[in-house]
Amino acid sequence: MLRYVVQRLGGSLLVLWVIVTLAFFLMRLAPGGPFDLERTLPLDVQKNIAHKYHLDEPLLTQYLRYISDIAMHGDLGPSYKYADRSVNDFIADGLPITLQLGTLALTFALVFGLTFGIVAALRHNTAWDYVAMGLAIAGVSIPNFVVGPLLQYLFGLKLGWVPIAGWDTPSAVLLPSLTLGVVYAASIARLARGGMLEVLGQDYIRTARAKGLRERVIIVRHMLRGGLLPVISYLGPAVAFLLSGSLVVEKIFNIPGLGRHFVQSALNRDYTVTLGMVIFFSGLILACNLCVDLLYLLIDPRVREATR
Amino acid sequence: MSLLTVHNLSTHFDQRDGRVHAVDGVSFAIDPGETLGLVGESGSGKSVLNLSYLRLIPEPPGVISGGPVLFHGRDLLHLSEEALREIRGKAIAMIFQDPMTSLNPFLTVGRQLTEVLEAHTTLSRRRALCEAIDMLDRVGIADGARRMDDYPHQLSGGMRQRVVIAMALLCRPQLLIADEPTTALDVTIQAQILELLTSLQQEFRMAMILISHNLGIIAGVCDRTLVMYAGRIVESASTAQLFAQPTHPYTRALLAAVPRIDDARQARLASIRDQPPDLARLPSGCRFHPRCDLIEDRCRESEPPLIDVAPRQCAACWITTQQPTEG
Repeated sequence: MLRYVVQRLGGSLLVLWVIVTLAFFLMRLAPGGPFDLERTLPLDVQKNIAHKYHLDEPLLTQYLRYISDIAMHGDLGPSYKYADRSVNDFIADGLPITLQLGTLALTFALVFGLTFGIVAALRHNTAWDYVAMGLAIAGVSIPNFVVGPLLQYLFGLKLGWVPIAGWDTPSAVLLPSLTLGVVYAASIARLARGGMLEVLGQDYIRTARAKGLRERVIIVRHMLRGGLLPVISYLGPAVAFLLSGSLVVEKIFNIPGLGRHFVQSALNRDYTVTLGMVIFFSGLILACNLCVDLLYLLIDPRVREATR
Repeated sequence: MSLLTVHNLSTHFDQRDGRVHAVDGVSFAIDPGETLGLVGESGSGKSVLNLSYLRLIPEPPGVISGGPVLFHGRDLLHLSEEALREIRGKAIAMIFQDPMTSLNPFLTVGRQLTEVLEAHTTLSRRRALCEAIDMLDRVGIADGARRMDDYPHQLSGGMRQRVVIAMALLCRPQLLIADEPTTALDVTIQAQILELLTSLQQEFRMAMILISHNLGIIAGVCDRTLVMYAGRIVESASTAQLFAQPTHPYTRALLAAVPRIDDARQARLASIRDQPPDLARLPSGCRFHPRCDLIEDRCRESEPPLIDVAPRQCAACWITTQQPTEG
């Protein structure tokens, strides 16, 4: 068991290293640089800047410097665009907000997704099922740049219950979490329904019924574990996406989270910020997937056996 | 007084390509302590029949009709869900064909055993655990206490079926329905499991319905045997009588299809020609007529009733029961 965890951890670090390396060199392959402006700077100035950020060194030296800074000090480097800010600053500022937003959205997605999915499966082919799945399909297919403004219009403007945007009052968090969570809730509902239906058809559920167990016991003890495995697999990447912020939702609701840096830094050719975001996001995905695999160990005894 | 009496039970499934008559007007009874065999090809309705009166068929798509099905004078088809739940697993227990899939892979053996007692008795957890270990011992798992924390995948097929049997017997049922209990097992294990079942049956004085397509198993174990074809009972007799004087052409064909080791001339295995009928598109008249060699005109026209041909033997065939042609 411990060996398995250590192995997986080592594997994850290896993958992270490959991602960082690829991202580093791909970024440099792309045309343009952080200091290319519309008007050309004097050659001396260019040289000075390049020297300050070590951009005049051979690429390999830069790469090694970058890697060793991360490994030794956890330092993701300075921003090339904003002279007084480091990548770590960006993350430190944006992450708490993004984490809050993501956690709320995840809670919302789990509560509604699981309820709808499980009810739909248990009431298979009834009005409950059709309504829940209709909503789920709508939730998956309507993009959040449509959901967001609709919610703003309805609850913010027409009803005036909550602020339209911002992140300064407690009630302001509702609409963005809802907007961000809808698509996840819908996916979870569909996966939970599918998983539960799959389990519902298993022989061991018939055995449980034949044993005269109460329906509640059959659902909770015999069905949920197997039925929710698909949801758990999905939660790995989903949590990573939720916690790394969403550009669209942050833009719509004017939230100073992490998401905006992803796109802005790439457009700015702000090498370190982009790389920092890539590392942060891949690290998050790897960590979440690792958690999912460990959860599997807890839930499914057959997997536990296989890792022994 | 019969333990269980099934009257005119039918089960159909409404599917897109028509109505599938899985069980069609079946009646039978079983006495306390009796062993009743139920034979027929795959898809003849053997399993659905027994699942139907315990209402273990998902409804919809299944529709159960007819009845009554009397167990101790109560009609199982019209009991409340809660009253029926109390009978399932306690007074009437079931064993299923495949022990690989009929145990929950996520729960320990101990959990799956004790939850039966939790559902039907007021035993403490500790007492339930002791009962479960004791029952494992009776079904031939000696180190039951150590097995309680095992998961089903850690046991062999034969062991799992023993666990399934222990699970079914924990509440000392009056009727045990064993649905192909040995089909998924190795031949050597089959004999052991069958022997175990019959000895426990005598010990607990249970009635048993043994579903099988294996006539050898039926012959060795059952007092009386019902032959099912396409959702109907086509012949019913004491097992000895059935093997000595099979009446229905289908029963005869089944018996002829049993390979014999002493018959060297028979180079090819005998089989019944064609496939069983599509239950959504049943043939007219006698359901067996497209595969029958004795066919007459009336076989295609009307369905023969199940009539007595000897004491305690009845069959549904126009020809072999020598029913006079009308008019």
